[in-house]
Amino acid sequence: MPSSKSAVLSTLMRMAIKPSFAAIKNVDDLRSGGVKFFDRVSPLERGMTVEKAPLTHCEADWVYPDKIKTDRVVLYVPGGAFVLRTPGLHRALAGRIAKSAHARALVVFYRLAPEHPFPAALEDCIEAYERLLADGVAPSRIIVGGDSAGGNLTLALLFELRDRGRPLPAGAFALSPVTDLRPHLRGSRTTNQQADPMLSSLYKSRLDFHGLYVAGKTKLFDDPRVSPVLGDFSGLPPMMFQVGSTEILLDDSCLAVEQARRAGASAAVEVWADMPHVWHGWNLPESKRAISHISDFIRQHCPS
Amino acid sequence: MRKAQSVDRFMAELRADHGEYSQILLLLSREVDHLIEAPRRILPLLREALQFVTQYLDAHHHPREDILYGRLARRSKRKVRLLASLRHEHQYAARMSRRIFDEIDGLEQSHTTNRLTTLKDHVNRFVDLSREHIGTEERVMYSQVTQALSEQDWRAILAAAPDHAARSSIRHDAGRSYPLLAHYFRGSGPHLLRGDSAGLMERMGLHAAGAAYGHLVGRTLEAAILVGRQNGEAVRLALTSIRTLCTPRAPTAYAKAVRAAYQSDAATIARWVREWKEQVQYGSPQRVG
Repeated sequence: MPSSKSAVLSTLMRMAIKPSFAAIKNVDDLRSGGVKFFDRVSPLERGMTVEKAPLTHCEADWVYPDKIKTDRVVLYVPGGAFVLRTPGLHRALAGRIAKSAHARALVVFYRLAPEHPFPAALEDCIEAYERLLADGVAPSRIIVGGDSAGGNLTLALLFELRDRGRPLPAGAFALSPVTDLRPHLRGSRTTNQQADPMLSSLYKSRLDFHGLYVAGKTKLFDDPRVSPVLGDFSGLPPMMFQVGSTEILLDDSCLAVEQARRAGASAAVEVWADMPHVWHGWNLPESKRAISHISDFIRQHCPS
Repeated sequence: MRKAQSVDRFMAELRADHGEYSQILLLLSREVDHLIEAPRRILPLLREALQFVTQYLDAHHHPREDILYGRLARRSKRKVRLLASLRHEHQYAARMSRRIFDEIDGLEQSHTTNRLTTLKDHVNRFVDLSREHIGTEERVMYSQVTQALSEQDWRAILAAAPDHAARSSIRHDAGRSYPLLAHYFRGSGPHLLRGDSAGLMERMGLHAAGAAYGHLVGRTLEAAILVGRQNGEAVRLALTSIRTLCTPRAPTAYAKAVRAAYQSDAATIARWVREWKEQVQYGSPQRVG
């Protein structure tokens, strides 16, 4: 039974956000509207420091509690359907995770499609991780995580690091990730079509985020770095997924975890009843509780 | 070199204990959600988790930290109160975990919903306090302790707190003392997080009605947007939805209608809008949805 606050939020989302996506004709519409709305959803908490740490091709920010002394790092990959940037929302979310887990968060504002299609975003995430290693952060002190498209990039990053023989982080988490960019309507993409208060599987025909991400090269949808659910999860560090039960992306998490466990990796999924897509970004009781679960996971695999 | 290795091992064990503690807190937080609906399955798991807390964390981990904090208090006058507070929290946590453990024992004989709800509240409170406590220790103590203490301090600490006790933790247990925990941590299906099963909003049906109403309005708005793009199917959907919103005879009937709309497609909405018109016209009771 969700909190009354989250029930009201879901109702409002259903009334306003979900149908508004139908009005979006192009990426510019989404960016101007998205930033105005989502960036104000929840502000950065007081007592947090934001420090610029630009990478070669993109921006990145350190977000951490003031005067913190820790070697624990969360490399955070924000979502936004691969085309949208909401820095205020994601600094705040990464900041809350950092505070809860007694860590410093490095938020990577990777290059966006359609201007910079795959693999630009993934390359930026790899650079961010390598930069941490070069700065002397031990891989055993790094947890990688992201939401939505950022969850997709988190898994793709793990695949790339493993395949390149690079040291892997201590663990990874994915919040409402999209792990299958192939154009299908199987499973929760259809069964949760009405129940999902925010996203719809039917928008593809109007604004094809996934197509923009691969610059129309649809064969890339079968590449595990684009659709991680198709990948080989063997040798990956422990992973934790969180997803709402009514999300159209429910199966993206459940199937990814199944694949991971079949390959011998340690992976678990938490399915939160009636929670909307990336509810962590809103100021709900369930957001705080979900973030505390992420912190428990971080502490378990990256002790202080 | 050997002394430095012992200090490193001592601190590594304490940190690893925190990792296991967090693992247990995550288990408690997840599984307590299902306590009321599935007590026979959950109570033994909670019991074993609390057994670990009382037999290892309260009996070995916290006393070792107390020895550490005792030495630290001699070195840092500024932190004396905080250190005393942390040691007091260890004692409070031990009393709390013991009480919960005894509650679980009692409930395994017979349980009522009220007693299960009380246990659930106690477990949630214990989890919150433990997380706060671990956070304080990480923030204030663990990051500074190795620099703040002298060789003499460490000799005294290591003499008073031998590390062989760590072998009774989960990571060394291999499922002997905690088979349910070992099985749980090896992995299982999705963890369903549910919250209260009989909240006020659920009992009043407000949650479903709110979702249904939001769905209906949202679909109407979406349809209206599509109408602007001259989509014929959307015109039909928009008209039936608008009619639905205008035709309910009573709040109860309206709530039922939106609940049905939440679960229905456009054809079904059109059907019961037709039925509703008949009800309005002829006054005969009709089943909606």
